[in-house]
Amino acid sequence: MSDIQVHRTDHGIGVVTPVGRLTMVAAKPLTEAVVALVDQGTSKVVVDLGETTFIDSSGLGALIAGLKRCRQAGGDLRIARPTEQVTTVLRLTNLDKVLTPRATVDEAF
Amino acid sequence: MPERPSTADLPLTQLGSDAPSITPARGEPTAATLSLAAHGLLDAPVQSRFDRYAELARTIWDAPISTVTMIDRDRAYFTSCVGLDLTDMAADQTFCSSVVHASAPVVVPDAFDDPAYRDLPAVAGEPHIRFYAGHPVRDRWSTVLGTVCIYDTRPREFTDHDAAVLAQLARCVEDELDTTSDRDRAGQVQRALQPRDVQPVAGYSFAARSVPTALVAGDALDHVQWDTGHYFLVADVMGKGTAAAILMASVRTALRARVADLATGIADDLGQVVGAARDLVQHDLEAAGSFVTGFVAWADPSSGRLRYVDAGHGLTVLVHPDGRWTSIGSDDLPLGVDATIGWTERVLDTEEGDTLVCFSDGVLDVLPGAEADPGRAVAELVLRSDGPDDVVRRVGRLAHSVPTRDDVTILVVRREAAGA
Repeated sequence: MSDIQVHRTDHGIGVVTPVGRLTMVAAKPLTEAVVALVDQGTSKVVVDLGETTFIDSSGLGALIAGLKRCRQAGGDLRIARPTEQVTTVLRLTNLDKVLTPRATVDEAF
Repeated sequence: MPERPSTADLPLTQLGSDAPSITPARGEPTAATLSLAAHGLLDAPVQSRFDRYAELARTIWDAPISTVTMIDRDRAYFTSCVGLDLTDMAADQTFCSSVVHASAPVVVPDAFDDPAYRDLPAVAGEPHIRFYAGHPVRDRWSTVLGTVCIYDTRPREFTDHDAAVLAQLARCVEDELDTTSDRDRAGQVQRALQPRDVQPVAGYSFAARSVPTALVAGDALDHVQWDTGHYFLVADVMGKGTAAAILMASVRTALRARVADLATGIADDLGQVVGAARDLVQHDLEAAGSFVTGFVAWADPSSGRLRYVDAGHGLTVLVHPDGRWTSIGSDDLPLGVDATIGWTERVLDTEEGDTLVCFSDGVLDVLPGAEADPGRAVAELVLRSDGPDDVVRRVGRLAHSVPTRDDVTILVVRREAAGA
């Protein structure tokens, strides 16, 4: 099961936290959460992957789609606290070049 | 055939819509014939995929016989027939043709009392059918193709509720007509697109296979031989199933078309070839919110030199005869992530006895130990196998025995040791 939590920091940064497995099931709600933040004027978004136990290519696709949406709006999407499996998948696909992992959510922007 | 106004279709007529019957010119196929052919039912009239609906009908109504019948002009084909051993008969000797003619459900509570039916061979003779209820099965343009029906050797009542259930069962059969035949064909086409009949190359042995987790795969496997060398590809589009397969077909074709430039000397750098292919598909991948990882390679069998681009794939291993292995990768991105980035051609010189294994991440799901250490797991598999065919066979067997979440694709090339 997975779940997407969303909040905004005092500095106007959007924080999206997918909990559990980030696969085809959770990919769509994640993209929708990012799009909703951007549409509401929050184009700097951190995806907190500290609670994400597993990611597959659909999950990566959602992160890339979110990244494109944020950049189109003049912002950026960054990822924080990836777990070991997520780090491995990012490294394997070289997507860590466009989604550089940050150690904490606060350090992301 | 005589008109058969049924004595008992009273509560059911409102369920059927009268589709206008289109009478074709002499010798022209009817709409139903064309539709049956399009659904693959003329080539193979008996199809076990419909048996579960006939079985379900028999269970619901505790009836001895149930059929899914398709009618092509004057012939009735029992696409599925449970409780009786029949494949086809003259349409005018069946109850089902009444349903098709009426374009509406038909119920016959007791055929012995019904002059329209009592002379049918199955009523007057064995198995002496007395009760019949049939509902039209239509294609998506409302043409009646056949029926789903139940038969009993004793007279019965059929309530409005029964009629509603039979109508729903007919909808299930209609869905089966469309979706399954469509997906089966997609699977057949994709299997036909897999590289086959690869000519043996002196000094090398080669095997490859792709096992989809759904009926069609989002993994691509390609191999083309030119006079100047061999092109091969293992690629994985984000996601799986039909959506991924549609994207993968265009990516595979774009790559093949641009690689032809390399084969014929128009282009001389594999990195630029991948970039040119990306330019063809970038818009499609972006619109679909997808990306593709891939290992794109150009091999010269005479020298053993492999030129490759690894687009975020990272799942290629060169296994040496002494058991050591080298993971082959790059820091280049997948296709579709960024419209402006480029790819770098790299070179790998193989030695005699080396085995190159390129696979998709589905292999990580099925090969023990591969998730933790893909290189080691693949090297161990190669060492305990008897050549590329055996490696591919073993992975194929694993893909069918372990519940996989992803398509499983593997390509294996061994450069034979001299004198082997």
